[in-house]
Amino acid sequence: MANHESLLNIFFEEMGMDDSGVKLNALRTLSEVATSVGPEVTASSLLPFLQDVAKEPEDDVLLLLAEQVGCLVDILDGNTQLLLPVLEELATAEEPSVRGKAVDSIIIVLDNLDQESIKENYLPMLARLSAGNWFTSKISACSLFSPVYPKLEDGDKLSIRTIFYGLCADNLPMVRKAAAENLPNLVTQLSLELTKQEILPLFNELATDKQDSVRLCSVGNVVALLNILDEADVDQYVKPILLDYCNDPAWRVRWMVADKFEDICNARNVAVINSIIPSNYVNLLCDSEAEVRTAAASHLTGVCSTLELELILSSVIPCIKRLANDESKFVRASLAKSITGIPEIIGRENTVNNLIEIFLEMLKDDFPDVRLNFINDLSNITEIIGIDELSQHLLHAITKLAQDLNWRVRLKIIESIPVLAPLLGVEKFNERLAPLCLTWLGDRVCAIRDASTENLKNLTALFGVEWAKEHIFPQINRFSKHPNYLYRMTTLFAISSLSTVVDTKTLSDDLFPLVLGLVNDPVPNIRLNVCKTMGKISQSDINQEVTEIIAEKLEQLKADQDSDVYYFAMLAQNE
Amino acid sequence: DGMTEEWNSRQLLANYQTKTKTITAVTFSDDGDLLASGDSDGFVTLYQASKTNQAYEHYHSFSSHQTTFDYLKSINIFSAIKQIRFLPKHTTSDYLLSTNEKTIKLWKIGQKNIKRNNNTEPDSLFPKVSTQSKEIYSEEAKTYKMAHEYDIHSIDILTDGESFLSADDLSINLWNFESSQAFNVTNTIPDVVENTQEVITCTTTHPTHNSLFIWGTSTGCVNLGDLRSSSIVDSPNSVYKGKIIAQSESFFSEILSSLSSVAFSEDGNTILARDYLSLHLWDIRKRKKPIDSILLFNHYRPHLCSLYVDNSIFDPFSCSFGKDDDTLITGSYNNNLVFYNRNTSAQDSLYVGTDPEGESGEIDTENKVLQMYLHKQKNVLATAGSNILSVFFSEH
Repeated sequence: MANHESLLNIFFEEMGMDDSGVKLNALRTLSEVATSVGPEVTASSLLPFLQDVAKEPEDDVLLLLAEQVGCLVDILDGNTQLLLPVLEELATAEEPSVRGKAVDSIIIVLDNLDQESIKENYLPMLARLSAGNWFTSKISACSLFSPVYPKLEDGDKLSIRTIFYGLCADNLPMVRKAAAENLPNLVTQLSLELTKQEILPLFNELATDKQDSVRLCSVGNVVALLNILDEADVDQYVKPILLDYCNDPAWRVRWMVADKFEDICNARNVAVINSIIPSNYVNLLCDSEAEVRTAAASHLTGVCSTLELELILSSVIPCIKRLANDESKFVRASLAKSITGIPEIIGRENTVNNLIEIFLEMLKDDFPDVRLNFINDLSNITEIIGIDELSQHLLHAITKLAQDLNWRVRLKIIESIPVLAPLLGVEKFNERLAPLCLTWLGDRVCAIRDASTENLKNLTALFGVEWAKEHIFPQINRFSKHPNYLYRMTTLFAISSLSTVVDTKTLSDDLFPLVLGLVNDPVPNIRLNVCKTMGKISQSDINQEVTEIIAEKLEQLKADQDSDVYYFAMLAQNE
Repeated sequence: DGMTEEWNSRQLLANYQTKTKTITAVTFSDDGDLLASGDSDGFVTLYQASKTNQAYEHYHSFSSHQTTFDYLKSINIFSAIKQIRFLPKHTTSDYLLSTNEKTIKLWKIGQKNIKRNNNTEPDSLFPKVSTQSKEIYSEEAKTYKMAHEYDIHSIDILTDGESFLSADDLSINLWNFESSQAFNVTNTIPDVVENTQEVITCTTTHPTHNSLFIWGTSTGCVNLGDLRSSSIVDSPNSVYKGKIIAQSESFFSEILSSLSSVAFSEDGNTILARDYLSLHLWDIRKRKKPIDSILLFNHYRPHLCSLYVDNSIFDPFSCSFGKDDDTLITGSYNNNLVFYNRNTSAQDSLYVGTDPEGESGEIDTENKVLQMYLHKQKNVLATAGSNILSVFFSEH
């Protein structure tokens, strides 16, 4: 009892303070406090106190409270409806993140409620939130209808549907928008009859709303209805709305349609609207607004996989050709990303006839993202058409990217090397790319040097240890004797990562001596990395001789003057 | 006359005695319950309508912006509040946007309960909390900064309640309240900045339509932009440009045509624009010529040289429609607010100063009414004359 008291007292004292940092710390212990005082006391006294806390103005406190209350579900098992008042208060908060968390917690509580509690506590709460004075509670309410719907009896289902439809027609655009966003979740749970009777008129209203933001959020409803209604209804009700959407004067609505186009194409009843899909997709691809074109292009593969070959060749390919020369670099970059799936759909011959030029253009584009996006997914293309057609330009593009002034671009290309290397084959690789991989080892930017050691490991795993001995080891050897300590460090990092992929003999004969050579290096940084490397090496398969030498050298380094070297030597010894 | 007679009940809300502190922004909340004024020291003062009588009481004041120093350009960024706009009231707290020349801030003004522990039982573990009193507090909810290279002069909120525009000399940005990043909507910066021929001087959004907004320029153009047509409104969707009413082309012609403010009528079909000497009315659907151009201040002409010398020629007078679209209101010198009736072409002035004898024949540029805001539903007119803030109540 004394324990509980003191825990509680500390909790209340801290929650009463002005400093929000103290309050936040106290709130984090909420589960502990509740567990220790037990469910009865929690319900009778702790929760009302929390309801007061929920009225405070500090948003950080409210956010944490919303989260922590959700964790109390286990403690109050059987009585979780008591948590709803606090959460209801939080669901009306002004800060959207607090409301979001509160809604999440309410849904967690809902999972735990029995039928009676739902009827007596949840439904009235939902009604209150939906009728709230301020729009904040209404927006929270919108997300709370679909989770509870399957658990209700028919009478209740009708009444909460009515409330929800009221929100869809609310005065404030922000409420209508939230309702429109949540409508698809509800629609999937309704029967066909109900959908036709009640949802269709609502859908019409929302799709023709004056506010762009509401129309935007209703696009999701098109997909939901396509999946549910039968063909005749789709033709009569959904098709005209979809057409209107594609030609909406507000570019943001068209953007939304472009973004959801793939979902539309994969819907159940797409056959009915098949006639309008290709032409409208092409229109979106050639839209006047660059953002819309970008969104449409990003779904190229998904949409084309649902279209017939003839159609693709006649309508979409010319569009792609135009987009490849689009003035906006973002459109081109988006195209580069999605075009790599097309060869698979249209086959080798069509690709060679139509798309090769576009691929080559992309490899020469000014904007690095276009080249990078294209190269990243190259394997999809080369599977279909083989590497020969592209190799010349590809190598040229890679070389240029590898020397780009922006280090992030260089980083991305290094990351693609393991994917490209097997495509090119050892010969070509040795010829053009191997020297590059070695210069990266000596790059001025540390991130590049790190990435390149990782790269070398992958290449060794790919091409074999013999290849590594011939091409990589000489450079590593040179670096280990470089006057600049950073290059000597690179040696150690390289050896660390290579130790996992080379065999024991190579490790002890070729790589280990280099490490040994640096044990007495004048720079402490090097010495401590030697310790680390030795620790890493000893984790791989090594023979007895090497183990003894490592132990001996680590002892020696433990006696080092520099405290960091000592620390890492100790760590390494423990491994 | 008789246009100004109805505004006979006046309440003086502020009278700053120092010449250095002036009132630079005035606005009402949507329901007229709160009046906000911003001054040159960066303070925002709020007045609340009294429930019992026809008056406004001081509600809260806080320091919104301070003067700071820009280290990169070695210039001062002044604290003077350029504009304040209230958000539509949707919760118990009030939200407003206030901006100085570089940074826009979203302020939340709420009421906090001062709680006290009333627990008289010594054994009980839990405090019994009661509310003692309410305290009004202001909190900086969000800051929108680093989006304008030049000085911000106007902000306005869009009707969807989720976004707002801010404008400086050469660009207009679109913000969403939730995020701290702006999207550039209009950019009139030429390739070589030194070749700038025209700057943006004022911006306002359409009263009902979510995507339309207008901006006025230094060459006397009103431009209409539509946010739906493209993500960057490179060129305006409509341009309203008239000929300058110039009795003779003079040195000042260009300066005189610069628009100081633009406003929409309540239904959004008519645009009112003020340049230094006149008011212009445009029908939103007729671009070729204005409905009317009213030369109100011809008597400034003889004094243009001296007005130019003391920079008064650049004073940014605001303008607005009156209680119906036939009356136009705009500020002028000598602490006078000028009313004009379109039907009768009659003109009248309302004196908003405190010195009743200050009616000499000379143009007093020290005392000018730059800011004003008419709240139609509540029948209140707020005026700011340099350092005097008053509200006028109408008997109708």
